[in-house]
Amino acid sequence: MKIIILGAGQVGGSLAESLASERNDIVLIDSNDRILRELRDRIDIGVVQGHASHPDVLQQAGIEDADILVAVTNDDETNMAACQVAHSLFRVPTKIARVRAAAYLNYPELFDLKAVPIDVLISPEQLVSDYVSRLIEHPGALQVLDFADGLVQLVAVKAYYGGPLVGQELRYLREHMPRVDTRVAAIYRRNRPIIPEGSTIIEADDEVFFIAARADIRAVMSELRRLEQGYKRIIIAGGGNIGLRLARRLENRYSVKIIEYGHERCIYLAEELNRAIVLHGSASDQDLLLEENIEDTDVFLALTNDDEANIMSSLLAKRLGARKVMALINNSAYVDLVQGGDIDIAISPQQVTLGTLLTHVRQGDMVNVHSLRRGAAEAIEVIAHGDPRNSRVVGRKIEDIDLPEGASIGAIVRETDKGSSVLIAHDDIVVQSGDHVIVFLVDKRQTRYVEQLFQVGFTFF
Amino acid sequence: MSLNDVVDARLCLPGLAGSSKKRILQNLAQAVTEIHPDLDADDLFQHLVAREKLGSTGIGEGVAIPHCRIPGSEKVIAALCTTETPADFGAIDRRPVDIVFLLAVPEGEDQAHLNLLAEIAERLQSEEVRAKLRAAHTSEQLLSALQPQSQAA
Repeated sequence: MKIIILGAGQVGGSLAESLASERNDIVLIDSNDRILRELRDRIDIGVVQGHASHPDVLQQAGIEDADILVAVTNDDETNMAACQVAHSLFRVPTKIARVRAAAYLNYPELFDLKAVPIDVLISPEQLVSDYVSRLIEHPGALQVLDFADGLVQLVAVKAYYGGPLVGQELRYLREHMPRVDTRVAAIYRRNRPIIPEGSTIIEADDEVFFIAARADIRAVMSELRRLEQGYKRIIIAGGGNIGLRLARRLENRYSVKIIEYGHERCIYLAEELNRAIVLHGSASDQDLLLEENIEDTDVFLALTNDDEANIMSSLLAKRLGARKVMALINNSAYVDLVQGGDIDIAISPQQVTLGTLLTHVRQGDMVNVHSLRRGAAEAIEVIAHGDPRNSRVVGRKIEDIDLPEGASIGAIVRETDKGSSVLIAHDDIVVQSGDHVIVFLVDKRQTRYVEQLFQVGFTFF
Repeated sequence: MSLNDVVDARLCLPGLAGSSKKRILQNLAQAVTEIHPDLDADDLFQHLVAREKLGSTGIGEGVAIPHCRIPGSEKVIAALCTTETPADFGAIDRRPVDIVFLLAVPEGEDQAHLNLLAEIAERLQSEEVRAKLRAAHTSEQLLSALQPQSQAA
């Protein structure tokens, strides 16, 4: 496939890198020649220097032949204009754009083929606030990913001494919780993946990825670690777009305080929020944190747009007794640095955005692609189409599907007359056309093979 | 319904322009809608692209048979072309494609359409047919190259 990416920033660069290895023809456009040259030295892509939405620049990149346009420059207007140009002049079939400003996002009718023709709109702030609120919903989870509109979730947790399953074989899980169905998709022990079998013994400190219906997540987590109490008190540092979005979403179920430095912004926040308490001040002010009972705080979220400030204030909050601290970190080098230390969870908007982009550039009817473990592993939700004659998946039992080594089916979501039902994968389940199949891949390099496996044969209409 | 009933000499296009899958499908859709003005070129193009996304219709040996259903349409439409430059279609044998047969059918009558598709694939499986198609310079030559041996002049 030919894919043109506009903007060689962190997201554009890592997307190009991730796709270049998958037999794609990638061209990256950016106005900064130096960044382009650096990328081209490292990965096998084409580059064009120029203004990303100008038709002549796009033409130089070969837009007439492009299957997909991904507009992720730092400028909303450039991204929107580029999609318009790609649609009106060059009929690019799939146009994906990142738009940040809520001023635009508040009008969904704007993004329509007849208005601003964007097929897939990506709002990192929306994605990040979804991501954080799922983590808050499941205390103790390192990562929570949604499939089938949240019916099924993939959760990563660290196994601890004291969890009933720790030190036991996996098959014991079924005996111990006969009414809860789950599947352990992968176990990472000292950063190396283990493909789980019934006889695999879970050890303390293992990072366990399991799939279950959303309602069962809590029960499964309680097997792997002493169950944490639900969160109640949350402090958010930074009242920007993400902070406000999250505060709004959380304020009815939790006690939320939000610390913001700008006085005018505080007034705005106070008007926008109903129950959350708005505090004017700095999140790295020790006295303010102590005054607001940081030691009784369940979650401290550092969400300003300054990485260093987020890291410092969450370290401080942790030192002063906050139970869990999470920091928003844009610089991916910092993400690796802080994750797993005193900061419980580092949230990378780039990683979250990348997964969403991958969903739409992959072959097949992908619903979700989540990039895991810094891009080494992947979890995908793909719809199976066809019939036994033209599909290598439909009409087969899960045990008979020719998955590559290191890939496993975790669950299936099937539409029935009674609504969607979640089937946790067992060997004898037969895949039907229209099933949403959730596949976990320990090695991202297998993705291409899985894509092909789900492709329909030639006779599919 | 057999292959000979659906192929129209006006839609046999030797040396179609376009060096990519996208452009070839786009140009073919455009050509089809010039003969069938009741269809919308963008609409046809999008249907073809959507089908390709689920799995390539490149069947190997440089041949692709892009096809789709068109809701609301009542006729079977076929178009055959060779391309100026071979293009990557994501075909099973990874070979670039230079013979493209487009088939757009109405909804329903699944078996008849499948038979038609099978017939097209069978004809294009013959090395001799492919060689004749590649050598064709006019619509008539293209059309006659497609005919089974007994009928070919």
